[in-house]
Amino acid sequence: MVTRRGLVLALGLVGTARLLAAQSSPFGINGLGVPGRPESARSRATGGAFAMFDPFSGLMETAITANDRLSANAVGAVSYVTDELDGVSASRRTTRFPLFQVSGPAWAGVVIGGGFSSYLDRSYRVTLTDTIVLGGSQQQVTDVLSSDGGVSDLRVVAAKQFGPLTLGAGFHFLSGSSRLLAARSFTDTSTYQGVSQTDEVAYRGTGMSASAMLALGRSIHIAGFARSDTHLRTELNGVEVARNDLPTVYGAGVYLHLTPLAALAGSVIRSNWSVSTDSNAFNTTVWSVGGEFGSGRHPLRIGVRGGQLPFGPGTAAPKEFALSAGTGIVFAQGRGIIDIALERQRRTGSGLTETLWTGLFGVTVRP
Amino acid sequence: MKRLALVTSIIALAFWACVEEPTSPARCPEFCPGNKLVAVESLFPDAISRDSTFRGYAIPIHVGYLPITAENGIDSRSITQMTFLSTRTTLDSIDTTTGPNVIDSLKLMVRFLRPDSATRNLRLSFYVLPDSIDSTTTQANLASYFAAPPLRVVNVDSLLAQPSRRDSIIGDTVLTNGTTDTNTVLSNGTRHIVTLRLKVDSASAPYHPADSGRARLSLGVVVTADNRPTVFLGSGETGLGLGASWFYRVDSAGKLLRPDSIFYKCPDSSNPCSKAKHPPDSLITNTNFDSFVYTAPALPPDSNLLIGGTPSQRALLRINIPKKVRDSSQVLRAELFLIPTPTAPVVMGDSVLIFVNRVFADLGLKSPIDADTAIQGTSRVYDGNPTDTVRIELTPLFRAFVADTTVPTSVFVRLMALRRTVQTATSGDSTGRGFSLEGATFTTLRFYSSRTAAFRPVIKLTYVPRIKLGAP
Repeated sequence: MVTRRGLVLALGLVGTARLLAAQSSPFGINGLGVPGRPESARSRATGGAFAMFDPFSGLMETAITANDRLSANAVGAVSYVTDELDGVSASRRTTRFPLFQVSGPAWAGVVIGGGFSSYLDRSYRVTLTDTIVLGGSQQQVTDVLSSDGGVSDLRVVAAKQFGPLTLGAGFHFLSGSSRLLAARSFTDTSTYQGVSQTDEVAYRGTGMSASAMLALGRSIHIAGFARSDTHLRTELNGVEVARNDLPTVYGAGVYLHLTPLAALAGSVIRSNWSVSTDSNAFNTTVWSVGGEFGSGRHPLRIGVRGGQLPFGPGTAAPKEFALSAGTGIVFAQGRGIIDIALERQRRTGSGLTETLWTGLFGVTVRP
Repeated sequence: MKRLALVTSIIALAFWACVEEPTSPARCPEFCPGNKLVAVESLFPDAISRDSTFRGYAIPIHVGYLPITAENGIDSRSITQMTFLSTRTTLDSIDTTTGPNVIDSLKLMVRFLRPDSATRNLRLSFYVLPDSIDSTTTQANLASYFAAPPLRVVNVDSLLAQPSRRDSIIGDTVLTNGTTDTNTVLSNGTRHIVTLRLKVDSASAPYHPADSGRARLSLGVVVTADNRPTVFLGSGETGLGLGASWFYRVDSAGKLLRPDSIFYKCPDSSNPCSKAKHPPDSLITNTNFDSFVYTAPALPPDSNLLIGGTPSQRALLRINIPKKVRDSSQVLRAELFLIPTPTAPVVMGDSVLIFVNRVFADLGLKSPIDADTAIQGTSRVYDGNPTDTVRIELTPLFRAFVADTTVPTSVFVRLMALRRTVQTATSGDSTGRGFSLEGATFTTLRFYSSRTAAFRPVIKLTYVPRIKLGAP
């Protein structure tokens, strides 16, 4: 009973934190945004390869069966980003709270869980300086175009183990908003006053997912999942202003527990994001390989990840490559876990090179 | 406790996470949002319709300057009725015994705008008028009084030319000469004001104590000059009306006493005494009522727009702001273009400017005007008939129209006489233009109306249409 009350409390907290979204990138400006990664700090340290088998990542439902009691996990991330475009360099820092997951056994061997993760990040700020002709003379103007917000994936999932086979399913509710600003100011403020337009748009959408994991002995697990989301409806003042199809995502992975001190995993995920917009959208394939080595109290995790980003200008999808490493600390007889990860990402496409250093901090509590 | 710690740590994480500094280099259109603000500049030639001229707003008794002139076929003379003069003075502070005042002389305080530099040999003639003058008095009613010998005639140019600023023979003094000469500027309000103190001796002082027991002075002023006989007298409305200081003796049983020879005992124990020890040296009277009477050529209405003159005329313009602009655009700049006719009906050579004010309700002639200077359109200052298209900045006004779409979009166009007194202390308006005066000039300008298609009033708008934000 105490466990169920705690589960309800934790699910309630999911609702209060759902407006906090993930990181931003110029690659998402002309598309739906930058897809989030529903991965815990532990999984991010392995390049995302462990995400399909990690009960605190939001990728697959079946992984939550590893939690034999109520468990909650939260992740904070800080990114230092450098963009280089046409010889111009700009740096920025983003701090996010991209993931919160909670799960625990319910009844009859069924484990239920829920949480939120970033689905799409739509934060950007672009400043442009131009000269236009007004009143027969040239006027220097500065435009600021910004968006602050994104789409969060709120999910409720359930999974049950049937011998070596574990099955799971989940319902996803996509929700979020963005505060949009378009402002123009003039250098000659005595003649022309600045103007600005602000709007706040809301996003709605739903999705379903299912997953399966097969244990081949004690050391090999094979998993696969599929997810289908409907549409992303964009509403302004309650009126739908845009509707975009969302992709079908499917993937598979393998987990090898080679020795008590070494585990490896790899995964491939395919998404058909090209259905979402008429142009500048591409299907993506993302792969990752990683491993965890050492004792369970202070393991060393490393990983590598590669693939594409779904949105960007030009005829080809922007590319992404990342290296990551991390560790964790278990304390209080396993009731508390702190995971730390450091990731180096590089995104390239259409002349833009984006380099990210991301530090992640995960806290897991198992009361 | 563990759950509390869990909740606390998650909330703390949530606050810690809400920080970002997102900026990116931009290259459009590849890495820019699809929509951005675009400024549109358009002329709206049909925006003004049903424009008309109405007359009778600022009338002579309410204006801030009294234009007196004898040129351009106009004969205008000021009339001023001063406040009552006390006819008796208390002789003793113990009882109520009073003695009649015997006027020795008086000094008139006259204030007017610095005359046009083309004016030559400017003379002001002061005539005694009957006590019965009021707002209905016409020049014809006063013909006999103006035909009588004047009380005083002062040659302004000669007086201003006095090196000591004083005519030692007659006793006239120049207090301010209307320039920015710091020796003669009393305050910011008198930078452009000529202030004369004119002496009227006992033989001419128009004091009639037997006249129904009242003593009040009413004066008319006539201007003459060899060239440009025009002057703008200050009026009581602006605190610059005529004033008089009466110097007197008090008759005490046949003995004439100087005021400073009459002593009052202090009625209380205050030290120093809060009451005056003597009657005042002079008795002050100020403007009770002032106006001007005039004869001017009639200006029959025509199809054009007339503004200015007295009683003042206004043009009412009804503006049809395009729906797309008023409902969903932001105005960067708005200008009204008025095209003057080749000749103006009356040009006095004084400095005038044009105000454009919105109305609270469009009731035609009786539309209540919103004189808020913050959203008022103001032209530059003109001297005579504008020789080119008049451009009036209406940006604040149009922004107000867009901000409140329920207000009528009709505006009054008014011609104002430039008030040269600086009002910085009270308004922050360093030019004083915002306090210019309607009806204080005979200058009348004529502009083409919407009935003259080729030269009709035009609105020029620079605006930013609303864009569709948020759609991926």
